[in-house]
Amino acid sequence: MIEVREISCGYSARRVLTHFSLDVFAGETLALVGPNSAGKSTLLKTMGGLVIPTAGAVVVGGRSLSTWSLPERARTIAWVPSEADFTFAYSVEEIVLLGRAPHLPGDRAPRLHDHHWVKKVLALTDLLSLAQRSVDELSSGEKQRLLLARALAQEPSVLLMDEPTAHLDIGHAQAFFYALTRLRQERALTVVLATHDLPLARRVSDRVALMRRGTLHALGTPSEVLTDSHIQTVFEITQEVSP
Amino acid sequence: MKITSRQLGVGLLVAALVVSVLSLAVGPAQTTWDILWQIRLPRVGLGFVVGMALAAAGVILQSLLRNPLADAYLLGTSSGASLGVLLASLLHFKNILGIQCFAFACALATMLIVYRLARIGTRIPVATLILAGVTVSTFINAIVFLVFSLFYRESFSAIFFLLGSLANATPGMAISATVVIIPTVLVACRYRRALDVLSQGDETAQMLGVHPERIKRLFFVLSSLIVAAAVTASGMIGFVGLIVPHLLRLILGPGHRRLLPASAITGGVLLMAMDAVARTAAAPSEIPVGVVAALFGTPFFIYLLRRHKGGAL
Repeated sequence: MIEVREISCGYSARRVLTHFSLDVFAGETLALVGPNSAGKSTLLKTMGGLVIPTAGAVVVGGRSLSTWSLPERARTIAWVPSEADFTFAYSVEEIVLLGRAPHLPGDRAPRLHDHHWVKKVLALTDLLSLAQRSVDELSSGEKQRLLLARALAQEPSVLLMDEPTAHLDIGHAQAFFYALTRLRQERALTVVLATHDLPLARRVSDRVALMRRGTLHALGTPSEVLTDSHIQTVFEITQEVSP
Repeated sequence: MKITSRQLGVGLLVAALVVSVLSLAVGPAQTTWDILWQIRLPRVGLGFVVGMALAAAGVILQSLLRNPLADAYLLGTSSGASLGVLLASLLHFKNILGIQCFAFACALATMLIVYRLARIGTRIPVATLILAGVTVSTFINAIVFLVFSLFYRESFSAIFFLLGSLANATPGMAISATVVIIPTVLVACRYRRALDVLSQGDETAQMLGVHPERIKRLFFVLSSLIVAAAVTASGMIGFVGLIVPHLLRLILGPGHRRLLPASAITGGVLLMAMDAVARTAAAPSEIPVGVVAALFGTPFFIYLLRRHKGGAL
């Protein structure tokens, strides 16, 4: 589904990824794991087209990402940022409805189908009762779920998530991934998530990409990759990490 | 209580009708047909479109810069436009379109300079925005005053221009402002969803299918156009662009589908009402409407600054 081919990218003088390659298969959940500055977020942003590689290419569904128009891309790839940043006090429902923007060219008003879809993702993310609530009245966990709901409203086939459970308690983190699992079964959703939460990566992902200093240290099933020796090397720690 | 779009439309229409009829009926001179057609109607009409322009520009700039305290007056756009008007008059431009073009070029240039100065990374913090706006507009105002003091013969009418006044309204001026402002506001309304998306941040906008820089360029041009047309016609009138969007955001929420057109109409109604006060409060003398706007607007601005402590507005 997503082929990352020999990409190099970074910010101004700092090179984060050099000749980095990775394949993400359709319908799988891939967790990007690694210490800070390993290049997880940059890789995720490059897959979403937010960072343009200086060399190499990202190919999605057989086409280079650079040839996609932005609305076309937004109907296929959705992004869940790690932090919510709302300047104005939109309601929860209004924010989720913005996720329908790629499906509504120009100033066309949302149709019944759009409202149905919004209701559905609000229910999936347990936000239905908060639909009319203003975003500045939400807890950080609720904001996190709102970001997921907005991304799901795009009806994407690829979901890129940066630290999606950073602000969730155990209960909501679990509910979050039940919702994601249900959605994946329904829509064959491909998910790539960057996370520091190793137990979570072990539980929800089909494969794990262990990254270190902009390179791929190991790639495989969670049990193959999240071994003590790999973790010790990559995170430069000695304690046991198995949950 | 949630206001429906129908209630909102009817309410604004009734307010616009009532205020325009009252504005036409009051004034220092006795109401005759000539006064009504030649003097008051152009003035009331101009007041409406200028108010519309200021409030619409306020909404646009606030969303574009993701900052609820942005407006054409605070950002120096109005000062830039006034410098353009001055340059055009020094070059003996008599044609209103020519003057508007000068005002537009200077307004756009000023806005881009303030935007560049205020931007830190991808954010435009309140403090740097106000600082950059005030610094640039103080500099431009100094140039304007310098030129006025060198060419003092024009300085009396210039004072009214700088304070903001609709006293020089003519039918030609009202028409030329209207043909720029109303179509530009309508074009802005056509792209109002992009404003909603853009107010979520540049990265999110991009992931929702909107080119942030392209939309910013479009709205910088549109807001410079309407501010230039407003300043050419009436000088610098502050605070309408700040008060109206903020009040309506409290009532209607921040969604631009309703906020942008409702702010434009409310801005028009408010400026018509303020101008009626400006014409009659000290009759037979006249207070510049910019002074009336500042007298109402300053306490409101202080309230806004005190309320804004990092939370969503």
